[in-house]
Amino acid sequence: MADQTSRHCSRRSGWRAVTAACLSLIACVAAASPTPLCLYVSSYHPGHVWSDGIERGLRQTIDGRCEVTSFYMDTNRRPSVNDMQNAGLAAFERYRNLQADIIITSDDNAARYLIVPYLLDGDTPVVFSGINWSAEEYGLPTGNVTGIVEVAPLRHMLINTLSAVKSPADEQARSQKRLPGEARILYLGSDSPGDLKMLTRIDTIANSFGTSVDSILVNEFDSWLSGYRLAQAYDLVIIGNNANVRGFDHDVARRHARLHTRTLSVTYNDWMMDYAVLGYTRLAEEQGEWAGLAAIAILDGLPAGEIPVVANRRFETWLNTRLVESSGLVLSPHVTQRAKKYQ
Amino acid sequence: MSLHPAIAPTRIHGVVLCALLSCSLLFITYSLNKHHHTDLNAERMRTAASDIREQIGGIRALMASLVGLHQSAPASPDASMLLYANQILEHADYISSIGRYEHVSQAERRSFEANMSESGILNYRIKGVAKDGTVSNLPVTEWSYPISALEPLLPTNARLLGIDLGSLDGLEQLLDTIARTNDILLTSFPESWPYGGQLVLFRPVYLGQQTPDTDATRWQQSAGGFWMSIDVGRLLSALAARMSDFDIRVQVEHGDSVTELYVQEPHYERPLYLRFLYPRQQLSEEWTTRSGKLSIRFERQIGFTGSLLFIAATAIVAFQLIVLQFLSYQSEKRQRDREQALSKEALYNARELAERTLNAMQDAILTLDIDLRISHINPAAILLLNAKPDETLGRPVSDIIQFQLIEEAGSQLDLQSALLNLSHNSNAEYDVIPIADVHSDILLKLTLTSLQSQEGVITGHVLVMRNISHERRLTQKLAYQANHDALTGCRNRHHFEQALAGVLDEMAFSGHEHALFYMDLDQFKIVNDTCGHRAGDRLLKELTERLSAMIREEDVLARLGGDEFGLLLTNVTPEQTRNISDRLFKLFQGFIFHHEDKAFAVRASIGVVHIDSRCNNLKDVMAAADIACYAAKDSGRNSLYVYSADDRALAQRSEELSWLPRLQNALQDDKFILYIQPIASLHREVSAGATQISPTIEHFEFLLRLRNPDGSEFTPWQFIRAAERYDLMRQIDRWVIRTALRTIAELDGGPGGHCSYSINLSGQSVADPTLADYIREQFDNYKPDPTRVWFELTETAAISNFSIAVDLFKSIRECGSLIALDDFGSGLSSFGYLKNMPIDIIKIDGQFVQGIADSKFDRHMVLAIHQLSETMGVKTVAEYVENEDILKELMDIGIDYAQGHLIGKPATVEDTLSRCFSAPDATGTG
Repeated sequence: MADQTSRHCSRRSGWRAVTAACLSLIACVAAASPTPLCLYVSSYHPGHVWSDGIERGLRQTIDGRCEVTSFYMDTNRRPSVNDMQNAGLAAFERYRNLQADIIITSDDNAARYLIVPYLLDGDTPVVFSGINWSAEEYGLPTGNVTGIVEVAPLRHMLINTLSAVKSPADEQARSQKRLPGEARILYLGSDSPGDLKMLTRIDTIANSFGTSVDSILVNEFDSWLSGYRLAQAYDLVIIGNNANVRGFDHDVARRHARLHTRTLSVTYNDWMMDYAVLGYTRLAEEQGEWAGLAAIAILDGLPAGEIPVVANRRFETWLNTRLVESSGLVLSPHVTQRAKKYQ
Repeated sequence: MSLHPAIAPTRIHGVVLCALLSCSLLFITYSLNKHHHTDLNAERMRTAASDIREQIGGIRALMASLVGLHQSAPASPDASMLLYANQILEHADYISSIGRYEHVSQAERRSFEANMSESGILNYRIKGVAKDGTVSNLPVTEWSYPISALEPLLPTNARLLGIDLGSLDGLEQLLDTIARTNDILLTSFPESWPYGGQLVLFRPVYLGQQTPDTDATRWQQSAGGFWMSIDVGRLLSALAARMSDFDIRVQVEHGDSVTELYVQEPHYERPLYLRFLYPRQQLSEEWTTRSGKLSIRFERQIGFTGSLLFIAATAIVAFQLIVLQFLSYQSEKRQRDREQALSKEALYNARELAERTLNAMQDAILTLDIDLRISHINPAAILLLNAKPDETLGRPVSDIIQFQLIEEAGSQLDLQSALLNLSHNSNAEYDVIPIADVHSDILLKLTLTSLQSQEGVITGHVLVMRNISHERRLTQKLAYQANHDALTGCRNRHHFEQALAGVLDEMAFSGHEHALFYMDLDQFKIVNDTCGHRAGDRLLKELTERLSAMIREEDVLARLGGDEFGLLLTNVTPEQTRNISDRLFKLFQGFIFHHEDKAFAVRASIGVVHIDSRCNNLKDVMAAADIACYAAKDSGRNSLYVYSADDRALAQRSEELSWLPRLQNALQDDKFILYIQPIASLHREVSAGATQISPTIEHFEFLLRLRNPDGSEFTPWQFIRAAERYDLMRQIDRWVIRTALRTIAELDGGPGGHCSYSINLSGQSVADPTLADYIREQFDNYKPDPTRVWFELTETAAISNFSIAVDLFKSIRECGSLIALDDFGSGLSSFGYLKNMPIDIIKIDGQFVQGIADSKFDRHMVLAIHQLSETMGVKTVAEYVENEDILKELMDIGIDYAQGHLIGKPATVEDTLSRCFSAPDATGTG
């Protein structure tokens, strides 16, 4: 009996040993070759066109190289400083919980409320994207932070649009015969830091041409509609962002634009193309692709500090043929023949 | 094994030729392979070089287009370059990067950096860099060549932006040079750099839309340039794939710097053999600029592939086999020619030999053609036919000679039919007599043979005529001798028995009866011995003549043996047989043979058998005649006895016949035994003035007995007649001699060892000339003392074979033994014989000894014999001493030895010796 018990125990111990060995082997394999974890922190919410483009570019580039987990700070819909700070903290908490190998952010709020307070000079590499124009204001880049900034082809846009109209469709088009230094330019945008930064840069460029830029910055949709009508008196209207325009109704805005467009308008945001004749737009995917490539390089061992901060370089030229048709504008062929048609 | 002297050089030549041709074939294969691969490789290398030239040309064109694009779009060159570069990178995967570098003076440096930062590269700064990739802030130089753009711009190569190419050793000078000369620079980046180890082409660009035309103005208008990095591996991937069996090396050099950009080791799908036979084939292609050189070198090793080597080896072996086969064929052809020549010569010699042989043969030979015309005649035939060859050849054979058959007297041989009837491969022989003017008295053996071709067609005939006259006469003589007695001329036993067998066979059909007479002359030996053989022969001839005269022609008279005759009367009745028997008996009764002054009455014992249906075989008839003849002898000779199956005497004779198998078995199974009978020596001793005689046993006689299976024994008198009749006595005597001598030798040193012993010899053995040798041989075998051995022989036997007996006696005495003449006085005792006969003892016949006490005649006979013996110096032995009276008389006469039942009866050796030498009175008379 004692022998049987001994044998039984011995057999049971054997199975335990085998099971433990298998589990240990699985654990070792899992520990030896884990899939890196990448935490993507968006400043905005899912459905945000620009932010979604960045994430799409990121995921396509980083496909399979690391496991991407997204966190949305939703600062567009909760714009108060307190909310944004909380969102930054929540993102950091998420990072700590996940023990992510690398953090990828998009747009300025993530830089301001996550990178700057929690991640600067840390051990975790950070790749930012979508920061407008310059990251210097956030003290970036640092040894563990690199990324790509978002710039608009403002100079290129101004140079081309100022010579785009071949002949006036009516009286309101006469300004386009003027020299660039004589052109009257209006910036119609939202009353937000981003549009204000953009207005400043455009004005600087316009100054280099010998002119200046007037502006209408609004917070209400009606104001935007009014401003749009007023802008038709200028030689060139630059349509800014509508992110902070409350009550913005695209259908109304689209009909309003068809009804009132009489002069050349241009935008650098592709989601505002319904209201501009021309568009010189950036590609959100470019931001995500660069961030993805940088993340891969970092995961492959390249220090983040050795990756310079670059700006987006790919633009797309659009032509809103409906507005051209409804406005009666006659544009220069070198613009219309190369621009993508927006309908 | 040695080669045929004529073949050996051919084989050596063949081997040498094969070796030379194999070497030639190998060399041809080598050359063809070399030329084939050399041409092929050269073409492939030229094609590859051409392809590379095209690709390099394409790259240069792309760079030129970049320059053109740069110069034609001054407004936004970077955006255009970006788009164009992306297009290039998308369609030319071997171009790993396209870069733009600037030519910036010290004064322009700050504004340039600010503009670059403004245009999207944040914090753009011109930096120095070491070969190991270490970025450093170098002191500001007068001119710098910073990288301002890069496609594809990636996080991994973005650090190149701002790098001053002029900070690399030597590169500043080269960039300065190509700026002045508007040339292309071929170089490579350091290994630690992105695109390190790749080919990098630099091409300067200038301000304005027109390229300045002087070095100075080009330097003044220099605006940096473009570079393209080329992944040589990719550039050559397709080429390398199709030239995987080539050693490809790409290197770029400028000044003293040489950088290896691409190395491909050859990979052979199939192993190459005998590479050492071929030099490496190579081709170099170079693109030289003022500042550097790009070289591509192709190398290829030629060798034999396994399949080619196999094919070459197979071809060589096949070629060698063909050559060897050809040489073998030539050799065999020569051999056949030689053999044919030899065959012709042999045929000629054979023909010559045949003709000579034919001519030399004693047989007459004619060869005939198919028309039976003579085509050849040999000298013997010329002599036989008395013909002239010129007149004979070509004539029909029937004109020359014809033949008469011997066997069919008077009939002529139809030669033509005989030849036509010859079967294939057979001969026909005829005994013939030639029908010709000459030699018609000779007998010929004519042999006819047909000559046939290999196809079996008869091409001629051969007639061989052998003179068999002498042979035939000889044959006839032999036949006569085979059936006739040479002495008397009458038939011999062979013919007699043949004739008897013939009539016996015929009797079953004819029903005739016959008579057989068996005649044995009485005392014929006396005539022979006393008058000589010639007289005996004459007697036989005269007898034959008389017998022949009294018989019919169809009767057969034959001499069956020395003095035995047979007479076969055919077709006679019993009555006629009796009549002839009477006549025959009377003939003998009146036949006196005269020789010189002597006359001998010739008598015979005649046995007669009447042959009727009861006699059915030769053996029985002859046996009956023999029995009847012996019966006649037994009846006192000179008588005629007619055989009758129920005759008593004949029955006795038949009984003798029954002894034959018993005696043969006894000899074979050793059933004979020897008894001994003591013989007393009658010594005279003088004692006290008186002579005393005391008989002592000093001698024994061996006596033969035949033991029956039931324990009884036969004495010699019961079977010795049969043994003599059937000629077994010599064998029996030899058994007795052998056994007796062995016994004597065994007794030596024991009881009876000092005595002497007698051994009896029969008359048949005495006549055996080899007996003396046999006796000596037995003496040698058993080593008995020969002086203690007596050999006894009857008087009749000794006299019947006198001369042989004398020789035998001499031989025995030479051995040291003694001779005793037995039964002296009973036969044809002739004292004259004793004079010439070397004997030592005479044994007086018992018929005289038995009556010595009662008959004065017998006493005087014994006395006479004893006195004669004393005169001759021989001892005497008296037999049949059966009582004291006889012994006393013998003693009185002075006989030396006595033998008989009074002395001792015959008994076994053991019993006799025991009785004689164990008892106290052993020396007594018993």
